[in-house]
Amino acid sequence: MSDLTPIPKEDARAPGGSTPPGWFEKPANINKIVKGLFIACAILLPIDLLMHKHGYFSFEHWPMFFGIFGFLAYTFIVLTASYLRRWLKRGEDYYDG
Amino acid sequence: MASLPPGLILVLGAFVLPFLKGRVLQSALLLLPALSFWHLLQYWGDGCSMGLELFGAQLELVRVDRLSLVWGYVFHIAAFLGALFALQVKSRLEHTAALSYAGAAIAAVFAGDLVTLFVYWELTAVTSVFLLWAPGGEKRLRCGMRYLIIQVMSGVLLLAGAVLQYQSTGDLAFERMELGSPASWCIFFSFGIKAAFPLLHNWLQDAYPQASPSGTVFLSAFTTKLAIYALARGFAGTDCLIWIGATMTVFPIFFAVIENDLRRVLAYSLNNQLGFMVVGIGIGTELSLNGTAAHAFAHILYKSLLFMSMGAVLTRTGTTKASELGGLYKSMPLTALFCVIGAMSISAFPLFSGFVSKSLILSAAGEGGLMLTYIVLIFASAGVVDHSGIKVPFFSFFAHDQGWKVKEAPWNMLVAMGIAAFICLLLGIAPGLLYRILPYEVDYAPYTMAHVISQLELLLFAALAFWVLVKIKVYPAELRSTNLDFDWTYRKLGPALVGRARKFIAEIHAAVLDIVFGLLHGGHTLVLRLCGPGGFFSRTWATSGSVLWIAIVLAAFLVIYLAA
Repeated sequence: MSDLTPIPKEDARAPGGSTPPGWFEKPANINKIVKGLFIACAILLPIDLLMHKHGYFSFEHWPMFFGIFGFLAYTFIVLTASYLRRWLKRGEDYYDG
Repeated sequence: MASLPPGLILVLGAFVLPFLKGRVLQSALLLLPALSFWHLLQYWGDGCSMGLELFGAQLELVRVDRLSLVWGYVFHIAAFLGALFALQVKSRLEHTAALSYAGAAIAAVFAGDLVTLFVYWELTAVTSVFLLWAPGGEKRLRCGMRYLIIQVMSGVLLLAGAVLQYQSTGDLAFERMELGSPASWCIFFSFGIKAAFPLLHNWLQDAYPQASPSGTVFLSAFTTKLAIYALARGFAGTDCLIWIGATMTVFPIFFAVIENDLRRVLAYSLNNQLGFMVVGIGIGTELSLNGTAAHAFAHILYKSLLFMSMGAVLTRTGTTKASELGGLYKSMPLTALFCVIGAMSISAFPLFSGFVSKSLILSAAGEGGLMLTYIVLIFASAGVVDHSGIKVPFFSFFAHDQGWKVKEAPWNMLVAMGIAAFICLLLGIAPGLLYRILPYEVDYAPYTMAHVISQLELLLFAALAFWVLVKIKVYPAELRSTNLDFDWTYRKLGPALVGRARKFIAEIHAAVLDIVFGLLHGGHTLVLRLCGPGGFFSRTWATSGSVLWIAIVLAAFLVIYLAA
């Protein structure tokens, strides 16, 4: 791929390969974000159970259908894709050889 | 001015650019799209047409109506943002290619007959390939040739379709058609190639990651969406499009998840977004066609935004490989913010543009009772959360800090991204602005409690799944790799088969030559032995011997004659 992507500016990297940790790298802050996600999901649960739904199909009225479907679909997609990688993955310069 | 078709200001103006430089060039880059937009609004805004009779055939050079105007508007916005993003590019070839390409796409959208459409259709192919070639290099040259061959194939099919239609009906008008006649199938596949139908799609993932940072921004906006417009115009309500579109929403997801080059991830994601639009065309109701138009509008802007953010990263770091990136939010905070806004828009987060456009298509599928399609589209939406919503921003700006210490993107790139991000939010917050310009009247409320909650559930629980998969260490690592897709058939299998065939033919050729030469050689030796020096026929004979031979022959003749 040498002539396809500009040559990485190695000098643009800080010596030692890392820069001082920022807000998003501090474990305490990452925990805050994850906690926020948990809380948001938890808040959705009672709202989903109580609200009046007007879906097109009956399955949309099942409790937490979209949450469960989203979780499972996402997991299925990622796991299937990493499984497919066994067959599809080749070297980076596969087509250049 | 009034009789100049929309878009031609850009096409013609682009060819002045090579003669300009410095500030004048930069001003022209920004003024041309603005001037062209003003021209469209001023002279063509109310919807009208312009005809021409040529060799007895009626052509409609310009047809402006509510459907084509949606694309006309957003193509102009995309051209302006692309030009702003590319403002500091030195290559004038690239500027010329970019603006003439944008102009050709705009003109194509307003073409009212198949021949005019064909001319601009090919012009988009011929101009855009220079975006691939402009940065130079042997591999880009080859990639550009592959791209051009496929694009021109689409044009040839369109022309064949136009000719066949003219032959059978005597009419060249570009209107809605039924699949069935050879003409309609030619045109259908012509559109299908540019719309990146499954198995016809690889030119997109092959070419888009190869252009310059700004070249890809232009490429991503026009060709495929022009094809979506053409399908909406010509094949609305064609049932098979529902399944073609649904397939398109699903299969690129898996490739996007394992792809390392983030611009190629975006190309796969573009393919998946086109699927939603194709489904909308297949359903063919007013609601679904509105959905396709709205989604094309919103999609062009958030996809440009995402490609711009990756273009900015490429400009500063020289790579868009996820395996090389990470932690860039510290040195490029604004680019990171804009990228996240683009990611939220494509994921259809409430208050972002994708939410108000995609839901029109989903609702149309629901109203049509298409349960399986509906489920496939929700499934695909969960996939979008991964590849564009999480993967692109996460692995470039966050994830592992790779020690990049670079400058923030240049000001013009930031402004272009800022405007795109602003529009993404604006359309999400005030969807009426978008709904007002759609082809049919809109009676739709995206912000109902049930809709917002169900969408939030889908997105947040998908994000939760991401966290779980990372936590238990099964989320696929970013690896330097090439993943095989259908282009393997014509980049490896095809050449290998041709190589084998060539070897086989060469062997047969050699064998045949062997036999022929053997025969010739044998004949030559025989002739030489009989007639050569000292050969039987070259000897001198005594007269008496000759007389004796003649007598024998005459006697033999006499015997045969009498016997008969």
